[in-house]
Order: sequence, then C-alpha cells, then structure tokens
Amino acid sequence: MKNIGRLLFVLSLIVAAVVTWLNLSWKSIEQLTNSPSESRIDYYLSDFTLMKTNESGSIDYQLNGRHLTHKQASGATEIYQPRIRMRSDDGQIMTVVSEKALQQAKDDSITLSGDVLVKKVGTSSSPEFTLSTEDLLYNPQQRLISTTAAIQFNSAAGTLKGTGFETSLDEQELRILSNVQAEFQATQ
Amino acid sequence: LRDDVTKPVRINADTVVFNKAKGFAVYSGNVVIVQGSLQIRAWEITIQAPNNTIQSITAKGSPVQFQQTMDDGKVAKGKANLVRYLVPQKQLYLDGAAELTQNNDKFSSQHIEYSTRTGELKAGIARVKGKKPDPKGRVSAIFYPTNKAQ
Repeated sequence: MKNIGRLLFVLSLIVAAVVTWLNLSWKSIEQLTNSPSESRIDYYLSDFTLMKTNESGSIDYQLNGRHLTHKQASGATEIYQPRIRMRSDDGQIMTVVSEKALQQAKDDSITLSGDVLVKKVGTSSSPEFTLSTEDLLYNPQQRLISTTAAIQFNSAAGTLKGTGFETSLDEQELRILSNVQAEFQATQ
Repeated sequence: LRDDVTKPVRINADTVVFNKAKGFAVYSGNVVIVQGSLQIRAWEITIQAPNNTIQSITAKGSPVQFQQTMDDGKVAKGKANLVRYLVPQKQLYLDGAAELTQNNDKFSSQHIEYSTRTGELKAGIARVKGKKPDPKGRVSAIFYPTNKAQ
C-alpha cells in the first residue's frame, strides 16, 4: 500500500514539473490557439472576378485580378493586376487598370500603383478620354481621387499634362496642381 | 493671321481647375496661350464653356499682354489689366490702362471695345448724364504718317 502511495507522489511531481516547463519555456496556452497576426493571410484568390451589385440588382462594379491576398488581422487587401469596370456618373463605362491595388484596412483608402490607366467611354456631352499616371489614391470617405505623380489626359479634343492631380467626384471638379501643359485641336 | 484659328491651341500654366458641373476652366500662374501667331500672357485666364461651348474668355494680369500678326505682316499688340473676349459676339473688351499698338501707332484709354467681326473700335468711358466725365477716361491716339514727304 505504501509503495502505491510513494508511486502516486512521484507521478504527481512529474506532472507538475511538465506543466511548469510547458508554461515557462514553450508556448502559453493563449499563443497555442490561432490568434490573428499581422502578416497572416486568411484567404487568397487567383485569376478571379468579383461583381458588386446594388439594391436594384444592377452591377456597381466588376473587379478582375491575377491575385488577391487578404490579411486576417488588419483586413488589408492586395490585388495584383487589378482591372475595375464601373459606371461613371453619366452612366458610361469606365475601366481602371494598374499593376497593383492596395487597401490597408477595410473601408480605408485604396492605392493603385504602377502604370495606372483610366479609360472612359465618350458620350455626346463628354468626350472619351484616357488618363495615365504612375499612381492614384482613392479616398472612399471624401470620394476624392488624387496623385502627386505626373499625369496625362488624352482625348479627341487634345492632350493635357501636369504634375499632381485631385478630383472630387461629388463636385465634378478636377485640379492639376503644377506644371500644366495643354494642347487642344482647333475647333474651326 | 487668318489661319490662326485653324492652328492647335497650346496653354501652359502653373495650375488648372476644371469644373464640369459649372462649365468652366481656370488656368492660373504664368499663363501663356499660343494659337498660331496669337499669344496671350496673363496670371489668370478663365474660360466659360457651359455645355462644352466656349462663351467667354477672361484674362487678368498686371498687365495682360497679347499680340497677333496681321495678314499684312504687321504685329498688333495690346495690354490691359482685364481682357474679356465674348466669343459669340466676337467682341473684345480691354479695361484698366488699356493700350493697342501696331508698329508705331498707339491707342490708349481706360476702356477699349473692339469688334473682331466688324473691326469697329470704341474707347473712353461712356459719359453718364449728371456725372462729371472721368479725366482718366481720356483717349490718347498716336498715328505715324505712312506717306513720306515727297
């Protein structure tokens, strides 16, 4: 009977030592669980198409891309070779392509970088145009698109170049911040 | 020159603001517009173009300077603090130390109106009944005889 008691005592010492060792040197229980980490990607898409529809069921925009990564903790989304097609205010199709698009967190600003090209189909009241620049920042809260890089507009009416650009989608106003050079074809 | 209007319009400026809803464009800072032989220099030029049709061009400067070569080869120059061109009416208004020169001939006044359609030129400040005429509104003209003494 005494031996069993001695055996149980030794066993309990061993268990206590193992648990203590686990706590001190290896991982705490909390770290053992799947806690969110800054760089952990929770989902990844490849050669994807995403369509957002509005309440009436029509398409708000269509987004294609070569790769998309979404980071668990921050909600950051990174898209390689994005291609966005949407309707502009006057109902015409606008296409935006770039090498990369990055949104640091949900509902945060979206940065397009690398050969950004915006193309808009023309209407009777506003001509077709293309806008090319190195990068473009879209702020969804202020509905403001801007860049500090060189920018060029091309349309049938002519060419407009400059450095730095801002446009407010609500005010339908566009500003080129410096170094403006425009050439318009004669109308007669 | 007659064919200036067929030439492309080149505009250089520090900044530009386009407002599609209100139909205007404002070029500011060292603004230079060139179309063929026509050149305009100002610090701000506003183009009103509702429904994409240019209605007026307003230039401000200290002063605004412009020049254009006439079909006879003479160079016409002008300057004023405020220059407005109404496109449909083809009417040019110069206000504030306005001056028009062609070779040595010179015409100056506080206010000059010129019709590019008819070539009619009016200058000076209109006389207002019951108001003393403004001395600054005087018109000055210098014409050099073109025929030499025989």
